Amino acid sequence: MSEKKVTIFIDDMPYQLSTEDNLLAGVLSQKLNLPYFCWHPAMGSVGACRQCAVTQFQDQADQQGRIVMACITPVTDGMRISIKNKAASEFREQVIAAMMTNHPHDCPVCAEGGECHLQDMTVMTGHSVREYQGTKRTFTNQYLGDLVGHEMNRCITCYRCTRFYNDYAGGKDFGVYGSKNQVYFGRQSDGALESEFSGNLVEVCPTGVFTNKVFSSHYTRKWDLQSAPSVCSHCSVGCNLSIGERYGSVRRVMNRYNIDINGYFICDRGRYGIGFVNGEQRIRQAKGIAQQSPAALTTLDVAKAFSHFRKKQFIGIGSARTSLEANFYLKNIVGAEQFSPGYNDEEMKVAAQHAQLLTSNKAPSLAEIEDSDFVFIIAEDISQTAPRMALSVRQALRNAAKTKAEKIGIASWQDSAVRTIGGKLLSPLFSLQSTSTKLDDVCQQALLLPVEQISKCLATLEKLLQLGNAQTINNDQALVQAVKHLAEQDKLSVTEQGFIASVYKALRKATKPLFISGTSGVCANVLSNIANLMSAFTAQNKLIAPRLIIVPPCSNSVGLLSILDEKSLSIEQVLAQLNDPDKSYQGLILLEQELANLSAVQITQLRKSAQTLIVLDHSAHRLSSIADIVLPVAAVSEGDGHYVNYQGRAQQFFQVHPPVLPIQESWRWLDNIADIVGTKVTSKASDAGDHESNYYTQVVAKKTRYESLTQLHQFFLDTYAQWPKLITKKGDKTQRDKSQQKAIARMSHRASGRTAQMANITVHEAKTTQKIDDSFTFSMEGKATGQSSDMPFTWAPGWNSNQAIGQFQTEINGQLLKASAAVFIPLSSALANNPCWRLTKSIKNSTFKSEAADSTVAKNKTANHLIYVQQKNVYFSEWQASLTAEFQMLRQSNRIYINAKTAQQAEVTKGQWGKIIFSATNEKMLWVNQTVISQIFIVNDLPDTLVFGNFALCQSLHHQLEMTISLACEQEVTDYLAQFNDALIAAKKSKENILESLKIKDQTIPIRLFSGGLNDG
Amino acid sequence: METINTTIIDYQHYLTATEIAVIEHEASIMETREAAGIEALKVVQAHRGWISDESLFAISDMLVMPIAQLEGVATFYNLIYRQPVGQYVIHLCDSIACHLTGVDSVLVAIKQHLNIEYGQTTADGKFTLLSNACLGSCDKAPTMMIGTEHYQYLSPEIAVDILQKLLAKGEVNG
Repeated sequence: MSEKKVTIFIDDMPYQLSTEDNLLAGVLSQKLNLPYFCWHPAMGSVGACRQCAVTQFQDQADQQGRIVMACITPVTDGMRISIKNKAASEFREQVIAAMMTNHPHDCPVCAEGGECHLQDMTVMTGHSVREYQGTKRTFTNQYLGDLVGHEMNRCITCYRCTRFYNDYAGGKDFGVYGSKNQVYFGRQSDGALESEFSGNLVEVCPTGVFTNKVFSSHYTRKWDLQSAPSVCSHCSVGCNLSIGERYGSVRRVMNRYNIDINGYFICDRGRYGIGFVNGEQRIRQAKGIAQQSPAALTTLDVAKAFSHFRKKQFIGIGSARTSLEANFYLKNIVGAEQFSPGYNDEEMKVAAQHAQLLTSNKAPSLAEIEDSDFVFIIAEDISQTAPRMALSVRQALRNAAKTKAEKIGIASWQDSAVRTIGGKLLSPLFSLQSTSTKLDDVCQQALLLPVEQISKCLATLEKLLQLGNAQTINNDQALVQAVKHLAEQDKLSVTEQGFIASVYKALRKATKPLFISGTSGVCANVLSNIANLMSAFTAQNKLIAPRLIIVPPCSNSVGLLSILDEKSLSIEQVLAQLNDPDKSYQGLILLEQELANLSAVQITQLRKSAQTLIVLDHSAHRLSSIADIVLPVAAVSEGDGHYVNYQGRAQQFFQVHPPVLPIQESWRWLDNIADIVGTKVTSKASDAGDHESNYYTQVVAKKTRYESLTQLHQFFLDTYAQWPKLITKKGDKTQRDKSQQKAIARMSHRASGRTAQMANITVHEAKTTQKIDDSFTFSMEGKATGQSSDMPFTWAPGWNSNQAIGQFQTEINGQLLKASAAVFIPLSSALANNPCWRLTKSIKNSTFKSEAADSTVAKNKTANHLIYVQQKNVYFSEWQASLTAEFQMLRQSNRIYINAKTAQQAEVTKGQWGKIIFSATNEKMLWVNQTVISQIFIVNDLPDTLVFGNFALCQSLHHQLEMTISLACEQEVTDYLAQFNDALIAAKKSKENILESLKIKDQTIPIRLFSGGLNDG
Repeated sequence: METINTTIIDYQHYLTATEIAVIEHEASIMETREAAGIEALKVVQAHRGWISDESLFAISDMLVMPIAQLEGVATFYNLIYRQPVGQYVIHLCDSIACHLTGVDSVLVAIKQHLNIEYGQTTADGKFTLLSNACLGSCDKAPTMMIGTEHYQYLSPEIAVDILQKLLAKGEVNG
């Protein structure tokens, strides 16, 4: 960005500004205050609000100058401007005065108050007296769903909302209506906003038109929130968040700027999915542990309860949604041979493939995605499984238009000019999916195919690339012929051939191609096809090798992947081991693992096979209800740890507030029981020698409890060779002690003062107690935010809203001033080098029937088999987020998508309610049926062998099946809808209950300003 | 993908063959289909007098464009009526030149004559009174526009006279 710098004079002082960006961005990069509304660092300039006026002089002699809008003025060498000049400052003040003729004086009841960009800018311009006496225009607000509130009277018509919602995020159901003094922003009619990025309106809107409805319902001013830097726990992208808490409950999530990942925007799953922390399904008490005193659960109680497991061997199942630390600890407590990620055999194969692909292809960051000029998405609906990534892909597609504009001398920050020139011009995006996705509208070509067919298409593309290496395919005719020839073997259809030819053609022109796939299809074949594709590129190719992203489902999937090795067990192997009479395992430890991949029958089998079932989790699920011991663990906002994102980037999330005991972080629970069940802890001395034989043999009697994550890291570093050294903070203890004195305050320097900290209990000042080596304090005392890249909240003097981030960037859209280098976790070589997961042995022992048996039966039974694929959904595809009541209220009634031919055969039409019977054989080889009442939708280009919908089928029906469709009778539809509405009402009721109980708890909850484990008294 | 609280009206059932033909022609000469939005609104309004919600949904269905976008177009232009209007729509100029030359008295006269306020339609459905930002005839102020006809150098008497003549003409024709 800052390649070319020139000297310009601002109020006669020389400054070095980049010519790549506009004058406003340049001025702000110098940390000079210049008010603005419509300009946004990520969205560029449109010159709509006239707020950023400055005086520009022709030369040094020019005393008069002329007023220009900084945001639409390019930076030129030697230019002279004035910000302080009277004409410009009066102009800016009068722009605010004009806006204020309509803006209500409702700041005290406005959720934006105290962090309002309009307030900040009003103060900045010095507009402090209001002379306007007339009436203000008023609007009727809309109901925009349960996530975003609407208060149109506050609007200052900056157009940022529509520019974000429609232009940037590709929304369709939002618009601008009317003209002149009556401009209205909203939907055509009331209704929930459809975009999964709607929550960003809250931050994009410079005032309180769009507010976070969930936050408003349990509200606290920004200055009264206690915040900490966190990382999103709802997908593998790892967006940086700032989570705010007060009186023991999480209030809201805001974006936290990270130049490489989320920039200025996050998705609604990240913003609102935090609701699960306050949810009704939280586990708040331990189960299966006798408590000495009713007052509190002590470490002694835990030790007693676990004492009869001494020297008993457990199998531990880790999880992709809990911290790297907890997984690592568990693996080392139970031993590598007893550790499982909870994946089934097929998922293990996928994991091995994934590890290999990730090792050999460095995945680009979201910022790097936005450079791409060709994107090919394969078998992963990233618009729902990694929405923020899809938003970056949308930006990448604008590169064609930006290049076109650049050719005629229009800079990319000229947002509306570039969009006008670009029209519908987009860089090529291809999509090969089994369900329709939200990116389909910007695809050059999107093909819907069952996963096996996708695999065949990729194989053909690979052959085509190899052919392209060997000989030149220099015209369309030759290309078509070549594809036709190659496709013969796999009998690809003409459409599929055309698709492959188009991909190849676009790929040849691309300079920065990007491939994206994922593991949610759970198909190792597709991943191995992709691996082959990648090697076809590297092999003496005239094409530029594409970058590759594999999207796993969870926040720490790659972290879990990094600690797997060839000894790790699949869930089938776990079951076999438990049932093995020679092994005599005591049972299972499930670490934040709900095993959603198991059917009810398999869960029962697992329960029967495990003598003792220990569950550590934050929310109730099928397994916690049948466990012998349940330990309540901290959710993301209540603990510290690292998540490893899809790239292998390890990011720390910090504790926002200490949980109410006995809830504590997973690693603390593991620490409590490590000595008892952990007979396999090794010391560093032993692993210096022969790894394989005596690695886990030496028992270390661990006496100390670890009070903080840093101590735990040090223990890991001292004890286990495989702990990634990068994560453990460098420096000795004295340095850490020093840094503790410089810890950053989690609270703001607020006007309401220290005594308000625990105002629900007492107005006496609280004594600040500090964790041993925490870098943040549970206090308003401490260093200000922004002293490290891990900012608890975004605030700077004069800049109370999140727009303050500009004050902490090296330059606008640049790196953070205090940025530290990103940490990438190396993948375990054992797994990466072992692409073929050892399976065959275990399957024989396994009591779960393998899938292969199923499909043969299905094949014998009918030639006309189908695949049903469930559409991914941003609100429900991730388990933790799906527990959020507000998301449950967004459930949609059943929809099934079939092709016109199937519809015709079944004599049903679009919009009708159908009764659909799916049948296949289950794991016990029995023929099972499932009947679904669903509304029918027709997708024309859907293959006969594929149907998709938004409902889940039971586990046994996930493979080839038969489907019969008939019209549902009125009674069936009424019954279904009644049931569906009951669920919605229940969700609404749950939301109300949670809110009510939170408000009651506000008055009583004990605030802990110290976070040790149990007995920290 | 999913749509929330949106009515979808099949344009082939709702719009007439003539309307469809004219709109299709407009769409064919534009770079993109939705660019014909303004013309489509004008065509349907010419046939039906105003743009109802149903008309709006039908056009959006026909041009494959989001309803929000089309509504933005429809509400932006003050010659597209999103409410039923009378046979004659009076657009009285509301700009500064007309104010200086006495549009206020013209407005009072029209209001009294028709017994309606801005935004209202007479009981007999003949006249609707609307204000207009500027009709571009500041040198001939005060001005108004009725249908495609511009009327200049207005006074209260002239304005009322024009309305009476229109009514008489309408009755002769009717």
